[in-house]
Amino acid sequence: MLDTIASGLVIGAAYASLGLCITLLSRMGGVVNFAQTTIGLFGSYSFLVLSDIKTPLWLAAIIGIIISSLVGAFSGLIMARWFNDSDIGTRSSVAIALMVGFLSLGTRLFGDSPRQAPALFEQLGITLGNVNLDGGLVVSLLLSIILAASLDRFINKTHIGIRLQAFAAKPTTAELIGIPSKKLTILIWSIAGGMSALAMLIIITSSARNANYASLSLLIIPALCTALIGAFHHFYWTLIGGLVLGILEAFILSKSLVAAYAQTIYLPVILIILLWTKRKDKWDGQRA
Amino acid sequence: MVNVLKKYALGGDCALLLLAIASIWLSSYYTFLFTSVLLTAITCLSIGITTERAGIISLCQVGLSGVGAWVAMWLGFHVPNMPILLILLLSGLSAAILGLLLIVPTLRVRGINLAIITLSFALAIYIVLTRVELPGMMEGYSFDRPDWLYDEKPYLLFVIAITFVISRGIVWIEQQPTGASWFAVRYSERAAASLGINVSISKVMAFVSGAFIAGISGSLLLMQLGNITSQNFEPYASLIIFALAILAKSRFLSGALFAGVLTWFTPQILSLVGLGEWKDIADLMFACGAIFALSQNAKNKVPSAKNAPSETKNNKAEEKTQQMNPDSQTPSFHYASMSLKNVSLSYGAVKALNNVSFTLAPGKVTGLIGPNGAGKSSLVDVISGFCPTMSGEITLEQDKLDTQPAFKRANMGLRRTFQQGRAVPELTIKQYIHLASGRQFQEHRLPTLLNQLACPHQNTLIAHIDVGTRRLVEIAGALMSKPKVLLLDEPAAGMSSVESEHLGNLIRQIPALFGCTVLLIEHDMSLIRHVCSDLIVLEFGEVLAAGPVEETLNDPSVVEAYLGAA
Repeated sequence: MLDTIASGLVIGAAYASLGLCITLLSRMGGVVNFAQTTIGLFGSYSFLVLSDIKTPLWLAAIIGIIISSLVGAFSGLIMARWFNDSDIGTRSSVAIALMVGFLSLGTRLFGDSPRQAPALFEQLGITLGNVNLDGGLVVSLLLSIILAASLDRFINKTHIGIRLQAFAAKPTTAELIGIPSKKLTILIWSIAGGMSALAMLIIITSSARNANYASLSLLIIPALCTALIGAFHHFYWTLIGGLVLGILEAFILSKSLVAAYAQTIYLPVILIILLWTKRKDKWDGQRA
Repeated sequence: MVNVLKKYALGGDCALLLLAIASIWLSSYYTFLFTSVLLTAITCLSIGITTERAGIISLCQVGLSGVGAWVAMWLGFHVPNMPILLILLLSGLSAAILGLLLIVPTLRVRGINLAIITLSFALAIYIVLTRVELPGMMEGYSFDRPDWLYDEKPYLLFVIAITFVISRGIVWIEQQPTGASWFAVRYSERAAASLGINVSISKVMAFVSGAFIAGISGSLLLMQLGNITSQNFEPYASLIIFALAILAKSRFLSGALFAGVLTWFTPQILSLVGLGEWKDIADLMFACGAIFALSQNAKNKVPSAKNAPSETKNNKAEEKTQQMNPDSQTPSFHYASMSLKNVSLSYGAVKALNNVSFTLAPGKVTGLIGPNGAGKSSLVDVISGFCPTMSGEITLEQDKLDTQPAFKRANMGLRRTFQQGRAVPELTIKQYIHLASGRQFQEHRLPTLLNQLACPHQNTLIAHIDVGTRRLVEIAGALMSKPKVLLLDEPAAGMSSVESEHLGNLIRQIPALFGCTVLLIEHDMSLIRHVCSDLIVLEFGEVLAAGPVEETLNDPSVVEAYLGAA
C-alpha cells in the first residue's frame, strides 16, 4: 500500500511539475501549452546525449535546462511576434502545431528508440520505517513543492507578479503603458521551458528510465489533467492534483486485471473536473 | 472557367475527376499512394466539419477512425458476406455513436478544454485498441475486399466515389439551415439561439457527423490494408491531422485533398531531391505550415467596426429608405405586445434588475435608455432567455416566455439583434437570412427585403461587407422570420450621424411594413426622438420613468438622473 503510494507520488510529482509549467503559461501567456513536454524533452534528451559522452552529470543537466529554455524562448518569440493579440484558442492551436513540430524534430535529432537513462538520484533515497523512498521521489516531490510555493508567492504576492498578470490579460494595452510585453512573453516561455526540462529530467532518470521520445511526449495529457485540476490558475491545487492523479494511476497499475488500462484514467478524471467546473456555463463568452 | 470552379467550389471535384481518369495509367504503387491520399483527405474533411465549421477543436479524429476500422474488421470476420457499403455505414455509425457518447455530456465544455478531453479520449481509444485483441487476429484473418474491388484500381475508383459523395454531402448540408447553424454556433452561441437554433443539437450534429466520416475513413483504411494495428491510430496521428487540416483549410474538398497530397507526397519529394534520410521531418514542415496559416488567420480577423461605408452606399441607403412608403404597401397586421412583470436578476450580491415591469405598446417602436450599468443589456438578455436565474414573468401575447429556452422564445416570435453585429461572416446574406428565418424563409420576398434595407446582393459573403451593413443584414434576417416582437440592441453603435439617421428611417417603418412591435435600446438620443413613440428609462436596474417620448424625457427625475448625469 505505502509502496504504491510512494511510486504514485514519484510520477504524480512529475505531473505536478509539468502542470505547474502549463499553469504558469496559462496565467502569464494566455495559452494552454500542449508543447510543454516536447519542449522539456529537448533538454532532458540533450542531458542523455551529454551524459553518454561522459560530461559531468550536473553540467549535462544545466546544459539541458538551458537548451529547453532556449526552445521555450523560441516558442515564446513565435507567440509574441504573430499571436500577441490572438485568443486563447488560436494560441493553443499554435501550441498544438508546435508540439507536432518539436516532436518531429526531436525524434529526428534523438531517435525514437528507448534510451537508458542514468539513475541520477539513487543515492538520495531514504528509508522511513519499512518503506524505501526512492531518491527520484524525494527530488521530484521537493521540486514540485518548491515550484508551487515559489510560483504562488511570486505571482500572487509580489508587485512585479501582479503587474505581470495585468500584462497577460491585455498585452497590447500593457505595451501602451510601457510594459515590454513581447520580451516578457519570451521570458516566461523560456522559464517554463527550463522548468519542464528539469521535470522531464527527473522523470527519465527515476520512473521512466526506458521510455521512448514519442511516449514521453504524451505525458502532456496527465500534465494537462493536472493543470485542469488547478483550473489553469491555482498552483497549490495543481500540485495536489498531480499527486492525487499519480497515486490513482499507481493504484490502477497495482491491480493486474486493469493495469494495462491505467492511462485511460485521465479521461474520466478530466471529464469529472470539467463537467463540475463548467456546469453553469450554458453559453459561450460572447455576450453582446 | 477558374471563377466558375471557385464560385461553386468545384476545384476538389475536378481533381477527383482527373484522378479517376488518370488512374488508368497509374502504376499499382501510385494507385495505392493516391488511395492513401484520399483516406487522409476524408479524415481531414471530418475535421473540416468539427473544427472549421462548428469550432470544436477535435484531437481524436484518427482515434475515431480506429473505432471504424475495428468495427469493420469485426463485421468482416463475423459476417463475411456483408455488403461493403453496409460495412462502411455501420463503421461510420459506430464511431458516430461513440462521438455522441462523448459530446452529449460535454456540451457545456468549450474551446481548449474540449480539445483536452478529445486528446485524452484519443489516448483512451489507442490504449484500448492496443490491449484488446483485434477480431480474427489469432486466426490470421485479413479483410478481403469483394471480387469487384479486389484490384487496387477499382478500389481507388471506389474511394474516389466515396470521397465525392461525402464532400458533396457536406456541401449540401452547408446550404441547409443545419450546416449553416454550425457556423452560427461557432461565431456566437447566444446569437445562434436568438435565431431559433437549438445550440446543443447543432453542436452534437457537427461532432457526430465528423465522427461518422472519421469512422468511414478508418474502415476504408482497413479495406485498403487488409489488416490494421493500433499504431495506425495513435493520438499523435490525430494531432498531425489537426495541424494538416488547419494548414490546408480542410473545410473544402480541395484543401482536404491538398492535406492528403502533403502527407503522402512530401516524403516522396524529399526522397527525390536526395533528402530521403530526412523524410521524417515532414511533420515539422506541416507544423510550420499550420503556424503560418494560423498567423494569416490572426492577421485577417474580422474587419474593424469603424469601417465606414462608402458615400455611394449612403446615397443608396437614402434612396431606398425614401422608397419605403408604408402607406402604399401596408397590409393589415395583428400587432403583438410583450409584458414584463416584476422581473429581477441578481449577480451575486449585485441586483442588475429589480422588479422591472412594463408593457410594450403593440405596433409601436418603444425606446429603452439608461446610463451605462443601468441594466439595459441584462434586460435584453433576460428577455432573450440567457439568464436562467431571473425571476418574474415575461409574456408575449398569451404565451409565457420566461420558462422557455432561448431558441424556443425565438421560434415563438421574439427576435433580437446584438450590439457587436452577429451576422455569420462565413455565410452569404441569403444563407444567413435563410438560417435566421427557418421555415418562414420565402425566397421571393428576399430581393424586396434587401432592397428595403439597402443591403447588398443576396449572394454577397457577409465577411465582405462592413460592420454597419452586417447589422442591417441581421435586422433583415429577423424581419424575414416574421417576428411578433423585435429587440434592437444599439443598432446604431459606431455609425456616423448620417447612417444613424438612415437607420432610424428604417426602424420607424418596421411596424407598419412588417407587422411587429419593436423595442429599441439606444444611447443616441436624436435617434430615439426620431424613431420612438414611447420610452422606458432604466436606472440602477429599476424603471425610472415610462411613457410617451417627450413627456418621459421631460420628467424631472429623468433629467436629473440620466440627462443630468450624462
